[in-house]
Amino acid sequence: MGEIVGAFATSHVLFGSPEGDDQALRVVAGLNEIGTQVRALKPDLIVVIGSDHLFNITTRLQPPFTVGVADSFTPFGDMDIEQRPFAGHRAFATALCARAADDFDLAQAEEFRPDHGVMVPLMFVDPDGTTPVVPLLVNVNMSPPPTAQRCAKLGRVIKAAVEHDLPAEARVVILATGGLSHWINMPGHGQVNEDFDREVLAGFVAGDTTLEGISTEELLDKAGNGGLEIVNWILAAAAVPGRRARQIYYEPMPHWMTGMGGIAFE
Amino acid sequence: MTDSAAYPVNKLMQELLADPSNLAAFHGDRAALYDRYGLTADQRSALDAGDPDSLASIRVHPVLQMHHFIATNPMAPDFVSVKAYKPLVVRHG
Repeated sequence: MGEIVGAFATSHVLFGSPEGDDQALRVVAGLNEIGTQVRALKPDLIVVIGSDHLFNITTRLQPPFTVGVADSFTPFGDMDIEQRPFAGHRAFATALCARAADDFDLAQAEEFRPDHGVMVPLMFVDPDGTTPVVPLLVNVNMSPPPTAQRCAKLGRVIKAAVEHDLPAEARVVILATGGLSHWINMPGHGQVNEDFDREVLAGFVAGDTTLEGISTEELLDKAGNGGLEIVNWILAAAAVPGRRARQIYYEPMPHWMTGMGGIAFE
Repeated sequence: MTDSAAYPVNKLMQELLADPSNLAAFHGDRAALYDRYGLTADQRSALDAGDPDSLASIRVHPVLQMHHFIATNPMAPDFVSVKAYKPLVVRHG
């Protein structure tokens, strides 16, 4: 039986230059800290719970959840991210879809070109692209998006899949990406809700699962359309029940139009 | 999110950065590109204006408004980029 040896969640953007921007440098330090912790765990597989920004999963076809099942993935290359292929993990990806089938009809992608939503955290976590990755995309750009409750339920399926469908000794890291509060091209554009972001972080640190019950409407109201990505964090937390998180970093960054944060589940 | 009237313009926006020939046409023969996607006069003028209010008025998806920004804003290549951060990645330890 496989084991989830670590779970992390982090925001997934970087903008401009860190030169003379202490907040940006602290974000980088946080991302590097997460990278160091992940590598110390020596994972055989990283499951990235992230978002696609309408580069692959568009309005043309809108699956709520998509699992990348391919043998390898080549980044889309937005934000000047290197388009270097890296390995997928077909065996786990397809096993996850099968195990989820009683409750979830997961879309499977043979072609998926990860954008910054997957790649910015991976740039720090696995800069040489040596560990296989299974991307799970949560479609927060559709309406209605998957709810926090559904995401939590899917997180529990991931736990079961790791424990039942991987060989003994398989070491898996869960990496959720996105958030925290940000409003993208909607009323409130550019604002950051620091109070709510800190409340969310404190909830994970306390091991409090009440956030699983938050409605899409409340999340949208308090964290904006970009903040809907917090469901990715909720999904990861549900995959490691009972574990409290440690806050790695938090920076409210109006000049990046987002709250930036990262946590590690202990 | 979109409706039948807004779909063609959203379709163009989501195929703009993903298809280099569309991006080239957007910066070249934009009218022909608009023709190909069957855009209305209002949609054409809103895309040409490119400001958030104009894009919102034709119901361009908020995330696709970012695609428009990336395609058109002179500051986008330096701002929407990880270039300056690559040297800061700790690769070992």
